[in-house]
Amino acid sequence: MIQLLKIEIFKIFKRPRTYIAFAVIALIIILIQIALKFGGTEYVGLMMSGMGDSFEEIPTTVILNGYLVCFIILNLLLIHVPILVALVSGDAIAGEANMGTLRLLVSKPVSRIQLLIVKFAASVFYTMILLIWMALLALFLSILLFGVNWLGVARELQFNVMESDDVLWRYAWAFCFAAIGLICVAALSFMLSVFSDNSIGPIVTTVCIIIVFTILTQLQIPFYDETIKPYLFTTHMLGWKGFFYVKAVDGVTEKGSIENLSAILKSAAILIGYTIGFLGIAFWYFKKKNILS
Amino acid sequence: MSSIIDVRGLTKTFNEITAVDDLTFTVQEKSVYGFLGQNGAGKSTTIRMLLSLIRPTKGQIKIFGLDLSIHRKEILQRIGAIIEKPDLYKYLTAIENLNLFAAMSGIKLTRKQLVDKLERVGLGERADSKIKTYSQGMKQRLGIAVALVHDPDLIILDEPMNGLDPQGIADVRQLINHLSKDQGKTVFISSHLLTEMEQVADSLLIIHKGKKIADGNIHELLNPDQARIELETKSAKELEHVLKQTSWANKIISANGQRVIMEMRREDVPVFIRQMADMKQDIYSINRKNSLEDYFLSLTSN
Repeated sequence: MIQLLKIEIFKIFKRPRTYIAFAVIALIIILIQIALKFGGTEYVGLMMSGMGDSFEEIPTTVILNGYLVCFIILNLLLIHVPILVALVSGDAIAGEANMGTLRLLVSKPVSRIQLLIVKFAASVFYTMILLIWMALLALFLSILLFGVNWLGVARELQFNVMESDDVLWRYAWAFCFAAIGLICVAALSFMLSVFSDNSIGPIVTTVCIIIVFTILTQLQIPFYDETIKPYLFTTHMLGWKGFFYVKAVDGVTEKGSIENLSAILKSAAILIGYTIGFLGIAFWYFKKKNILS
Repeated sequence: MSSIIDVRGLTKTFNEITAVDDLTFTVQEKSVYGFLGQNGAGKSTTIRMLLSLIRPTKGQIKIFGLDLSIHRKEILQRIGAIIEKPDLYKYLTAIENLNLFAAMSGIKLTRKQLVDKLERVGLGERADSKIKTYSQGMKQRLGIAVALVHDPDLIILDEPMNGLDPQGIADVRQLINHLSKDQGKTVFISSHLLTEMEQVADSLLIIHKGKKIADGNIHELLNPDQARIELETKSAKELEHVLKQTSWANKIISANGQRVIMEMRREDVPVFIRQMADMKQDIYSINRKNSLEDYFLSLTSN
């Protein structure tokens, strides 16, 4: 099994297209960092407007530190990275069918279930490497460029402040949560890949599903809040933000606290449930599929 | 000799279409078994069922005496195959492709062993070239190397000579003979090149519209003791007139234009040729007509 996994990972990282996602992530993050480095004052001013006089005296360089830059980047990126994940997981089975290599793989002395397990595991491995790459650039490069200080997170009716020594562990958990969300997307495109003989189909379908679900998630219409939103996996993918929502007593942040841990755990459980569902369908269908490609 | 493949009542239907219809055949150990049929006759579907790529609607497949539906993994461990065209990973080199498929069959080979296997199909010098730079013939050779990389007992080759030049075809023919006669492998081969099949196959299975129409030893099927010959001459009618004065008169099948077709015992052919020379008959060419091609066409044409 380990040998088969090594083969799949070798194949993924031998393809030039694999590196597109890494290049795109690096480009976006660096562009955001450049923009904030040279135009961060206006951005922070806009963010802090309406926060009252208490923040006016604080220099921009204090507010705009590496932790805040990383938060801004994750806010912008984590909704789009799934598209890059779909590039590899959507290609996992359909790409082999398209190349004509699927029939050769399935005629080898490896069970179809084993083949799917290693293929999905390789997609997960790629997703994790992509996430680590994003963490390195978004968090550590931002810290290097902007330094560290307290993190201020603006919410609808409040502003949460976390001391600098209370932030890094939150990012660690936020990235772990993001991993669960991205694996869920990988499972969705992987499932679609099993049904197709051409990788364009599952990749485009995954992207369309993410776009439609994200729009529904972000629509501020009360009717959808209870009828549709709680069931969309894209709603729960935003759960990583919960690690930056803190408890406050008399306007003072409680260090090391998380406002609603049970909501985060519920979102994680729903994402895992979706992942199991997508994989279950993929395994059920592929086991009996006629390989005609 | 024991049977390596034993197929009973194999049937596959796709919706309303029956691609393979109640097919029964046996492939003997160490033989080269030719599998023929027109396009759409059900050859690829049958081969895919033998490799468990397609689930049969009905029937049983036993390979190496084991039921394929139960012992899939053990059976596939001992089979090497090319299915239709040898599509491999274009972004990998030949040696990477070979190593990858060896590993999938549970075999670990050194670089030298891999290069040796590539040299056997004439690709040693291009071992480190990416497949996307290969010609169709080179891909075909690499496909054969991939099929043989784990030293299988049964080799299933679907159109292995497609895209090969005459030298390549001769090399594959030699390789098949070597695998069967020297190494004792069983080869199940489908091809459209009937003259090649005639040269390599010991037994034949011909299917038409999913049904078996002929099966057996190639020599018995083609009846080599009886020769059907075609003579090319200046005028078929003149030659027919001359032949009717001789004991060969009842051997004439037809005489039209410049061609006379005759049927006689194989050992009588040289006697006939000598006599024609003595009689100073101008015969431009003599061709044997009971080839596999003629036999195949007689069975499959409407």
